[in-house]
Amino acid sequence: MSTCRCLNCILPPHILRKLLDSKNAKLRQSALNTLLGTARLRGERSVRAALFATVAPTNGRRTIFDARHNNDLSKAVMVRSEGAEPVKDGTVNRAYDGFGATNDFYKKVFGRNSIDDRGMRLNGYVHRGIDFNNAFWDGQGMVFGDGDGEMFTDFTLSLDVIAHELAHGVTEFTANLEYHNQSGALNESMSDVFGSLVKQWSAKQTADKADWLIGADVTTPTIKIDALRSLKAPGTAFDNDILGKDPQPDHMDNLVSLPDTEEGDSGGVHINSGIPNKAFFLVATALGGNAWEAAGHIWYDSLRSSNPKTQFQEFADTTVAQADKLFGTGSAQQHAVIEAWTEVGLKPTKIPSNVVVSAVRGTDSQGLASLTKQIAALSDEIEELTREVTALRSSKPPARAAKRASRSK
Amino acid sequence: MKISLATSGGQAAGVYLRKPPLVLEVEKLAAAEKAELLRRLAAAAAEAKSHVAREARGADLMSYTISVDDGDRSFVLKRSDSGMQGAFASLLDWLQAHLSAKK
Repeated sequence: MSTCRCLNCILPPHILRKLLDSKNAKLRQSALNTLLGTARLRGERSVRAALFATVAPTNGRRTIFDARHNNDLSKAVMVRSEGAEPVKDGTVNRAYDGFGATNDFYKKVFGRNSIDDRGMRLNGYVHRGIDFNNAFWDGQGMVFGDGDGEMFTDFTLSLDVIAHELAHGVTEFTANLEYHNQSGALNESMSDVFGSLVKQWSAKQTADKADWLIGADVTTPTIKIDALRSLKAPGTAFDNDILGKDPQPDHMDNLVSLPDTEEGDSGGVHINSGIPNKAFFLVATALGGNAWEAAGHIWYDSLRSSNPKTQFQEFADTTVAQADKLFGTGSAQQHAVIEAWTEVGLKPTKIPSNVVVSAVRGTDSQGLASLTKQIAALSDEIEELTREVTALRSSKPPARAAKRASRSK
Repeated sequence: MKISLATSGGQAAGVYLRKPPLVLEVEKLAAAEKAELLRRLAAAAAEAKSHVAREARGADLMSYTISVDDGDRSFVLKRSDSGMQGAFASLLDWLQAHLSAKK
């Protein structure tokens, strides 16, 4: 009897689960298919949850399933597992590669081991439903649709979309921001921010070269829109007769009030995310360079310091505090954070007393960058002067004073 | 009988806020198609009586509202991506396939 036939005979679940960690890709595939077959018989979600919960941490081992155009994911079959060669289906390969790039990003930039920082498996389901214009995180894995070919196309085509969904997992295992109203819009914003950062990091793009768009590659020529959302300019991603105008606000004055219902997008979580998105864009571009470095770290540490009910104002204050912790009071980074939130109508409430805030609505990002640099230069001068005064008070002459003295001789 | 399918939420939630539901006139279907649709509809309706909506976990989930209007009788079936299985999923599969083919 062949090994594969044995796996399809009566084997206890604990042995099948052990085989999930086998180095042999064929054995892993057979074990998964068998367990999923069981899941179909017993009911999908509870078995999937138990299945993946009991498997040992795997450093983000990837498994891609083909939902074969069913809405019910228990009908999916595994088509590519970690370490397996690329398959003919480009959608499968893109999901696999996107998971890898995202996991690498979290590991190398933040030292994070997969979504839960404990090596959680990364499970992706592709070809879900028919004309499914969406991708989502279902609490255990990521699910991608192929689009209807008119409004949208294959949602694995945008790395930022793949990373957006994975970021929902990261949020769930950190702040676990409740998915409605402001905390929900923050949840969405975290996913747009980290989705965009993964794309920029993978392309080695600086903040000024990035497009700051989410889903630019899932749009179609028919619909002629830039993207699903723009962090740089919320409210401008689309404007046409078919879709209407992008409803995202970029300032608290324009916060959209929607009912906390499914029809109301749970209080506009995909709408009002424009405000914190814009704040991040402003910080990243004011500081320049790679957005995942200063701005990304401030946001990541702020996410980890937040809680399920964190609202916009509290998050803004947290980013100021984290910038202080990471880069120092009055640093250029902290200034950029304060200015950015002020510009979107969320002036932080806990600003250190020696920090000057001068941003007004309508300040362009160049003016902001210039102001930030001036303040940074002033801070440096004050630091140097302080050192000189301290040195004068002691017996040793300061280096600059000594140089002046030697020149005048 | 008229069946309408409305979707909301998801990554393109801003778009779906304004999109009208897709509508299907059951009487215009071929006999076999009509029979299959009604079979799936009956199964989904029966399932709805015992279905307990789970607390939605996840993000970017979409929700689906299937409204059935049959003269003086009407009812609504609703599910989110977080509870997508069984007879409702089967009905949704059929409606999406048929409404896609109509384009």
